Amino acid sequence: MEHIVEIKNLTKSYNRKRALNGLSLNIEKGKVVGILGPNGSGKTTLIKILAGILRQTNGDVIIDGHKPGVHTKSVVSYLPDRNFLYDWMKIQDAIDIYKDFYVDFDQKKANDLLKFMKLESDMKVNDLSKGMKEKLNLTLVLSRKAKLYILDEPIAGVDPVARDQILDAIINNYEENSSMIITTHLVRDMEKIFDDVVFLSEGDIILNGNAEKLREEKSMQIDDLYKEIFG
Amino acid sequence: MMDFNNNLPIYIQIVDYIKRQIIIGTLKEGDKLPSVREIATKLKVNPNTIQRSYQELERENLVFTQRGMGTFVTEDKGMIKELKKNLANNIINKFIEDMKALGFNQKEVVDLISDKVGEEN
Amino acid sequence: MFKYMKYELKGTYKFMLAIIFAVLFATTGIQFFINNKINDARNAMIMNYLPFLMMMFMLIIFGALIAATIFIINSYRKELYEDRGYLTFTLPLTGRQFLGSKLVVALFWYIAIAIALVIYNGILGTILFGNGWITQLFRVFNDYDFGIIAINNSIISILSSIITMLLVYFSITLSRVSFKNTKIGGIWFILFLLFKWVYSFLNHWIIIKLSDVDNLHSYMTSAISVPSIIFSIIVGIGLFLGTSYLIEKKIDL
Repeated sequence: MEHIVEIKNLTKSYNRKRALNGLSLNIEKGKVVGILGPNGSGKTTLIKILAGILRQTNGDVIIDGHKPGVHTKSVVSYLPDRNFLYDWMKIQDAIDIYKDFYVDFDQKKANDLLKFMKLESDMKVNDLSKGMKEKLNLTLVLSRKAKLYILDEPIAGVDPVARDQILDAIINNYEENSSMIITTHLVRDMEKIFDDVVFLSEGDIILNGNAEKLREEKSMQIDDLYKEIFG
Repeated sequence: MMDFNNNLPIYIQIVDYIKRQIIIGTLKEGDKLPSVREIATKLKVNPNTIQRSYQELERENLVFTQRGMGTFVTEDKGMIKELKKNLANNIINKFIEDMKALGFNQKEVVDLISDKVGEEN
Repeated sequence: MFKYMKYELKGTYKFMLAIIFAVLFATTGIQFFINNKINDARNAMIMNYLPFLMMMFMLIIFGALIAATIFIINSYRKELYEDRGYLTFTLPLTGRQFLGSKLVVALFWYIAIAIALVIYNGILGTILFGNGWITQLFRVFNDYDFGIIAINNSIISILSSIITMLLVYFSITLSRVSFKNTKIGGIWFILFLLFKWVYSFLNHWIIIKLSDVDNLHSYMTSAISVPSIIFSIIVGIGLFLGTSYLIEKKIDL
């Protein structure tokens, strides 16, 4: 099983609209894959199905040899595009719940990341600024030694300093045995960390390949390619 | 630092950048290159890409890797001289191509250069 | 499941403790009020006030349980409709573990409120009024088959509250799964009333037709309808499994 994720003919329909249109995609182990596309292209829909909080209308999704469910949730570390911690929580509570539920949680990684992000355990989650919340969420997600990380827009709406810290943390987290799927519309800031890129438009994959190869073939950066495709 | 706005793959841009650093002496012979992870973090680049750059530099015999210790600039001064010469030749060749494309002939090009250099003295 | 229960408790204890304190405070007030009245009119006995006491007691416990229930329902709704669901439903938690935690913690608080009230007021009452009320209470229990009625009604009440909680959870979950795009907040309540009515109707029918109870009156006073209890247990289990299934397999956030 060389692929951590295998997607075949995945479709998701809402009433009359098709968010995902029978797309197929495989993610190899150890790769950092960027899913790129404008709003409404289906990125978040795809991510939520992989995270197990959305059901497909049709098609197969296999993660680590299993359909999305309780097992996949234990090997997938998901960063949603919103604040998901319970509003009564302090940072220590958030760490505790991750530690309790995830066997792959690494306390040392968590401590290092908290320090790096300048966050302290007794802070209340609700009192944090938007950037700090984002950094905290990322800290929790990266504190696990997961087989697959799924980050949905990790640097959107965040100031440049926080952005740098987040990118630093993501790159430092790189592990040969783990894979990462990252969605973003901020291609310029993130493109250099991707091994492969997937361009999504209105529920279809319109381009898929190794980032460096594409740069060579098209003689341009991925950001420019994105503008060309979606401009 | 590094400006990535280019039409080249990232790994090549990094290779070029390191070559420059060697030529101008920021990286001297025998110096240890930063670890893959350090550079990856600094430049916000996938570690695989950095790895590929280091491998390319090693292929060109400009650096060598010692297991467990890191990657080092070659001690071979000759190698570095050669690199400098090659880079210079590339720049000159491109310059000549560009000038030709504008319609200058070789004598005109040489004259322009002499005048310019004379001005600077 | 116990892991999640820990967090459910942490998230609810502040409000619940507030209810308990409010209720203890209110009943303290009542007891002291009666105490004053007794001291004023020298011949008045606590026994005159016993019915009043019991009624106030019932009202207060009722109010507390309503407040607790509204809070519990709201917290369940938040889980399915707000961002916190992104944490809860990405934890490696089965539907049953999730629902079990919610249910057990809810029941725990109901019992805690009731026990706190009873014990506190029992002690306070004894301090203020002496032991007399205890023997009087026992007499009441023994005299009129009150004991059997009380036990009957207790079992029925407990079962009924559990079924009601499960019906609420089921209705909220079902409306989240079926009517995802509807912004009408009250759909679950309509479903709940519907299911509750169906359950009550069937339960009634079972009691009348399947038990040797000739009419509802004697059921209320002495007989226990075993078929009804079995029916309720089956319905309860069905609701639990059904809701768990929906949570684990059908929720789209």
